[in-house]
Amino acid sequence: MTDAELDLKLQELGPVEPPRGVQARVLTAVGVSDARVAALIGPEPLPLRMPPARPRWRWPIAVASVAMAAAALYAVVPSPPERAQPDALVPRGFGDIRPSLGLRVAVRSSGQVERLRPGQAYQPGDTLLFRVSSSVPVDIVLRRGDAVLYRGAVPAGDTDLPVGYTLEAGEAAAPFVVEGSGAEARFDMTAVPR
Amino acid sequence: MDQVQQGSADAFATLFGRHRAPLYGYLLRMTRRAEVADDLFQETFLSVHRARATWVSGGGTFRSWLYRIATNAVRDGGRRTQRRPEVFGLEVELVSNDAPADRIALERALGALPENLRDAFLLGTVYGFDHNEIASTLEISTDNARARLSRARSRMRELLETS
Repeated sequence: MTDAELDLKLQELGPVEPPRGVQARVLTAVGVSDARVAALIGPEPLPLRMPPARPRWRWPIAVASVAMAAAALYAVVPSPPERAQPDALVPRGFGDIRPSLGLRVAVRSSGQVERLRPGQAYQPGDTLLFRVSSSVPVDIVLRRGDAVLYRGAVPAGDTDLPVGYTLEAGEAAAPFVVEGSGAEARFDMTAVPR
Repeated sequence: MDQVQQGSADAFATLFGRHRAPLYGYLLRMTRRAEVADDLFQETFLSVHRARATWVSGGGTFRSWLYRIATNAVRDGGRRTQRRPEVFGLEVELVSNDAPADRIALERALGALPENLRDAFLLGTVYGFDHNEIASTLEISTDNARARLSRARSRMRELLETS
């Protein structure tokens, strides 16, 4: 190889551009402005954008999704109701579940309180008092005709209602009725004399 | 260089822009390791900036001063990194993938050249330093510079012919 051939080959050994970060560190360290650095070594290269990676489990996930959708569809679609066998039916709910209610009435007359018995005479100005007995706690209504005298809850056992009914002269005969949960008890009161 | 000595950052940037690529190529081919060349490149220019007041225009060219600092950095760095494992495949860093085969052979031959011949060879043959500049840069006599350059060229021819 001659000197000329060597020199020709050596022309390929040109300069090598240093990394941008190395250049920037040197220039910044000696106080060169950012604008001058950018002008000298060029703008910051754009970040490399990689194509989105294909997930390895793409097909298994797709198959599993379709299977789950089919299972959900099978669960949601209503099936025809099964026909019951009449011979196999068991009667339910035909027992009497109504509470047992009772109503007792007392009368306060001339300061005396005594139990009012059916057919007993009473006078205008007398006040009727009411005691309700129930087998279970229940909401009751006490009414006379269409007029509601009391509405509230009573516990199991005897309860004196906090209401009184003062008789007026010439009142027509009409029963007092206590109702609750489908059960009722009544007290028939005769007309009040004038 | 006068403006650099007066503290002008812009003048330093201009000087940097003029010498960065040749100097980095020199350091890369001298060290054969990119990460070492990066460090020495920074060290060289920062040394230039720190020692700018000591540069005397009559004592040689700026270029020979710059490469003297770089060569000393290579020697000091070589002592520091003497025990580092050798990095194979450096040609990949020095040449692009589409480089012709003779370019790769050239880099390999250069790497096989002894270090005390490689610096003289690079300065004299690749960068066009005359014997006086080589002598000033390597802090050797002019005759020694001429002899080294001659031996280096001869050795390179042998390496390229056998590659």
